[in-house]
Amino acid sequence: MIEPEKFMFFDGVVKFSRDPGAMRAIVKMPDYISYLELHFPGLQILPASILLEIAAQNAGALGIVLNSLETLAVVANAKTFGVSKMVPSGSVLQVDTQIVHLGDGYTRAKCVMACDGSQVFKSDLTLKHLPWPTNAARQMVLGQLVKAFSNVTHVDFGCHMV
Amino acid sequence: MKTDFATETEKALFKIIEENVDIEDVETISSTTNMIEDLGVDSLDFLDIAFEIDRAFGIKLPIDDIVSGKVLGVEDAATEMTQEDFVNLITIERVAAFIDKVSGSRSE
Repeated sequence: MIEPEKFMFFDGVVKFSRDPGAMRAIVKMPDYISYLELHFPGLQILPASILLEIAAQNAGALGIVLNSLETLAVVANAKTFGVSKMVPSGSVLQVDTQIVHLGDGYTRAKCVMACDGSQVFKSDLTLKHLPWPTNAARQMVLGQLVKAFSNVTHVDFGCHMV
Repeated sequence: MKTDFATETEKALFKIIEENVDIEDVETISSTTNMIEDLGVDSLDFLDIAFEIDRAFGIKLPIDDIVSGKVLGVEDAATEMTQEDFVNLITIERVAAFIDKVSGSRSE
């Protein structure tokens, strides 16, 4: 289960490929998310902004791993994004992320999400690679990556937790 | 089309720009055409164009260094760039020359 209250939407990687860069993760949203209480009463719907954030974190995680954790990958732009179905809280999302281009300091990724076998969201994202703001941030992300990739045994992060 | 380019790289660069940006009048495009002022390329377009250049030429353009004006043929690198200076640098011929420099295959 992910922790939306901590704004963490990345977990449960089930497939990973380094070349070409691609990843599938399963994101299990909790049934109740406190900050969605009025969105909407009795039936919480994930806002498009949260779906975009899920895509951003998954694409960012893939970008970070492919760059051997040397940089933080953050969204520079979302060239396109579209929501095709409403996604209630409690949903299990299959998040497929594919690297389209690895540039110098930038990565273009495509992210498609499905729920119950139907596509619910897609986006083309550009990630910018930045120096880690703090070592604590790097350690936190590394810890999350190790946890999320625990079911994918062939991933070598190329570094060790301190 | 009456576009006038001095090198094959300039032609290829313009083709990439044309595929990524709506250009109203291609009749007057030349090597000295400014990508920002004349063609209306914005920062998002520039990323798309840079990625296509990477693919087409098998290189990795140093996007941040280009945007900061460090690499587009400014001899006086000690002089701090203004936004206006940067805009003036983004011509098809300068960017194409830089592509040639990076790819090591200048085609005159």
